Amino acid sequence: MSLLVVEGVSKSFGGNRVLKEVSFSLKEGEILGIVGPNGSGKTTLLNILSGIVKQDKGSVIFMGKPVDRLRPYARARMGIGRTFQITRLFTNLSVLENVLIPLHYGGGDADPGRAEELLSMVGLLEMKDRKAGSLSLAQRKRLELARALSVNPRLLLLDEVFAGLNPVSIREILDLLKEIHSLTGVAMILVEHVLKALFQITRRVIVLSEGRIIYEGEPEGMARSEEVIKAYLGERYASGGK
Amino acid sequence: MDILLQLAVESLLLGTFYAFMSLGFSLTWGVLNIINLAYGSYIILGAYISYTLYTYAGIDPILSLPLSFLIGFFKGILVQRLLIDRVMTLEPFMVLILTFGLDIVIANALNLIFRADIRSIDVPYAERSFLLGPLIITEVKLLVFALSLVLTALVYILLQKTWTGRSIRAVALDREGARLVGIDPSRVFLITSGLGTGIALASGNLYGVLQGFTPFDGGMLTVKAFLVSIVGGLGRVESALAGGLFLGVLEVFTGFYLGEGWKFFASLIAMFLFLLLRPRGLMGGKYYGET
Repeated sequence: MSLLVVEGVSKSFGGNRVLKEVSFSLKEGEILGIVGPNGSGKTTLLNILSGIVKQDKGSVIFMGKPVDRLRPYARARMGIGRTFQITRLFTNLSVLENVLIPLHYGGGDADPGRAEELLSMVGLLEMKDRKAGSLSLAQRKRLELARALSVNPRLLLLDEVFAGLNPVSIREILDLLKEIHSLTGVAMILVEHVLKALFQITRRVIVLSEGRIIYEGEPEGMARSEEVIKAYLGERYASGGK
Repeated sequence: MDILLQLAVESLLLGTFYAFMSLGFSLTWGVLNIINLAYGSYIILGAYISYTLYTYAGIDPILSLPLSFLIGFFKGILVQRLLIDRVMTLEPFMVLILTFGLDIVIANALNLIFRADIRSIDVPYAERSFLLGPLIITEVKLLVFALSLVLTALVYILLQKTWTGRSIRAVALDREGARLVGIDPSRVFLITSGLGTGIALASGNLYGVLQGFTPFDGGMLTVKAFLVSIVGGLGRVESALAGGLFLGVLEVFTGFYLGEGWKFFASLIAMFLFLLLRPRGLMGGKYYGET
């Protein structure tokens, strides 16, 4: 059985159709990359999956149950964790509190030992008493990962987790994601622009362009897809660069 | 020198009360992002509740304070659920108009019941004072100071050490982020609204023993709570203390050197200057998360 099924999801903002009949599914423990040019609807799709935005049409089924009517906090409690391109931590609270709160409200057991375990996993245990707002960008991304993990997720939605990081930090976050995946088996959907890093962790990608899925398959196949070349480089490069 | 010391002590006593009095207003603004124009009338409502209980049942306002808090807590939850929830996602003006209307309703209801005469709660210890070196300390002011300090500390502990407090702080910092870690913001809004209104009514008990009041004093108290909130910054206990002490100093010194009639005018001028020159407040944080 699929962990997540997205069926014919469409969304418009005013007259702008951001997503058009998007359908795909995800297995337990699978890692899926979603890529596409700016404005192609990637983040809107993550917002719909996490419940921040409601779709106009279509449905989202998680663990066999429709979640369309569930609010974001209820989806978090069901096991959908989320990170943001621009981190949304509780900056005035301590690093430890940032993990304890979702453990209490999302995971159901605010065990400080478990919180420290998660902080240790992302390499922030020594900073547990610091204010989250005082962390560097890479550390904030790590903390947001720990926070997303503390709702005991079956599915992690990662929005441009590599954005703004230098190559060393990208490598570290990549290794961390691999470690998290091997330890927990959590399924992941990564919306990403840093394709080189993305392709090292996933064997399946979806390419969105103008709200439609124009490619679904292995990363290597992307470069051979006329539609993908057209979306990224324009019409004149699509047929052999004439 | 003795006069300056006396004025400083008076400022501290009054400022701490103002800090507690404004805490609910600041908390509601910081967490729900709404300005409650009925806040001052909630305080006056608390004063009338304690007045009634003292006059007709002989219950000391200090003893009836927990009851005022509870009445305020449930009133806050009801108003939030039945009225504010319906308009708070619309234009900000809708909440202002709604709470302005509530202010008028409460003030006029109190006027119908109690008339517009100045009422006071004449507890036996209201006029007692003692000497402390060169200082004259009024017992009732010391009592109000001590209670304000203890109650403010309790709110601080609630916000810092309990799960309810952590969820309130989390929603204040990032409503969307809070939703995604399993917190239900609408529940947090209810609790914050209840807590804020409870504080307002409880501070009304203390206000009533400090000075006389009429049903229409709410507007002036809302302005004071507003000043304390913009001077200190929103939603934090420390900020309310800073703002409260500022207002205490301003009122005591203005009252002594310029006359009682200038106190409220000085508050209005200070509010205008802060909004113009330092809208982020004394502690630099306009909003809860921006410290």
